[in-house]
Amino acid sequence: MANESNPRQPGAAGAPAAAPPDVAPASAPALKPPAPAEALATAKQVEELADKLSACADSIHVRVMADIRRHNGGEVPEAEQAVARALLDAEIELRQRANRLYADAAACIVSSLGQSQQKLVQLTIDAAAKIRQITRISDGITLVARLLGLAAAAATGQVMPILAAVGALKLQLDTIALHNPAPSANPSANSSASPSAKPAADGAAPASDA
Amino acid sequence: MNLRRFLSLPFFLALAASLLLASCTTPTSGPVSLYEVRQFADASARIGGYGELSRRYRDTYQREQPYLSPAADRIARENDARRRAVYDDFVGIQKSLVLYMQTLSLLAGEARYDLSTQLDDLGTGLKANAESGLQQRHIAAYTGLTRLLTRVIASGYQNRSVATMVRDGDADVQALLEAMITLTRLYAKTNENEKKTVLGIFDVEIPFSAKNQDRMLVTLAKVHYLNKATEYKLVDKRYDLALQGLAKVAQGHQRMRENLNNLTSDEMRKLLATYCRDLVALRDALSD
Repeated sequence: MANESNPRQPGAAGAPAAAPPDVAPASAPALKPPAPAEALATAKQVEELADKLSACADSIHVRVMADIRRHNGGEVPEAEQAVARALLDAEIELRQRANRLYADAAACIVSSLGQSQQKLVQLTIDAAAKIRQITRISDGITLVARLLGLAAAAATGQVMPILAAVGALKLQLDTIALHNPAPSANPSANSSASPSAKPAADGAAPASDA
Repeated sequence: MNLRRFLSLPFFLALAASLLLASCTTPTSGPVSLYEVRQFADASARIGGYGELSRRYRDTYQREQPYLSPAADRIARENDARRRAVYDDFVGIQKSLVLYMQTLSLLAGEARYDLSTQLDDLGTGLKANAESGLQQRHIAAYTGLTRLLTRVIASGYQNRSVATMVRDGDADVQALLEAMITLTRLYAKTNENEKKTVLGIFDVEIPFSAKNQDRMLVTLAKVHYLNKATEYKLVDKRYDLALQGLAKVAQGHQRMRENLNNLTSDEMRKLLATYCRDLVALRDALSD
């Protein structure tokens, strides 16, 4: 809480040395302090990330409901109920995290999340899709936990925890890819937030090329 | 007696005619009546939705609290504090916009009122710090508009015409309306997560109670779900209506800015009358 309400030095957004290899090149040019015009872009980016977290929460809900419906109104075994409740808790927590970012976007407190923004958004899009596809529910629980970690890190506005969380989420997505060999590329049943994801991510692209 | 009447009638007719002529030939200076501008400004000042939805946003936690797990509740309480910290500023934007529109309305009419007491309301300004909830340029717009209003109102309107005010105010008015639109959009998204939190629990828990002995509890849960679903459905519409209204005000003001020299042209009057009708219709829809 303390460090979140503290407007950070934009320069700290660089921190490229500690970045995992896959994000390091992107986050390197973030040392430049944001100009007034960029502040708006940042608020928009924060809002966009919150949109994606909301979409992940939607994915979790869809997944949980699909599992429940498989019982056709019959009794759901206790063990499955417990899993569903755990996922529901995670979904609700994710929504709170998203609402935090909406509040931050309104207040513009979160300083630039750095150039890893685009990557971050892409990861959450992947996660939302994966949650619906996974065959092993245990993978899903870990994935959701990683997602919550990322959401919590994003709320701090600190680059280091964000990058660590990004790494953990990416690792989990890779692990799932091993368990669930490539399904049909794009489930069009995604929530309404998802179609806008691609152009939005593209919009952020020029920044990371700088 | 009769004679005096006879004489005075044409005199008044002539006076009225010359006044009418004057108002046609000098459309943008002096205390002319610009009926449509006035109507538009009045409708813009009374635009509904934003204030109510700002309050709803501020009070999010009160509504969602009973549905939260301890972990989610911890985050929610922090969010609550954040939302409350910025509420006054969110309302402040609206206040300055309303005062601007009221002043514009007075300038566009002949009557004179004293608005100076309302200036006190603006005096404090927005908290220009990290928690103010507004971007620097929004704060600049607020300050700019406040300064303009202070000048206009303090001068007793004499030296200000509608055209001057619209020209000087447009950039700030647009910036503030944009801030209100952005905020309303964020309100709507926050509400969406609240809705899905509240309804989502019942989505999951009601099927789990399929074989539950306690039928009354399940029935109550279903009734509660229906009530809540209806409530959110009604609220969802209000965000749309509020956003439409804000966009209309922004468009209308921009059109005036583009047509400063023919505010009294037929085309412009028709256009403003249309915006006005739309704003009134939106307001009616919001008060249903």
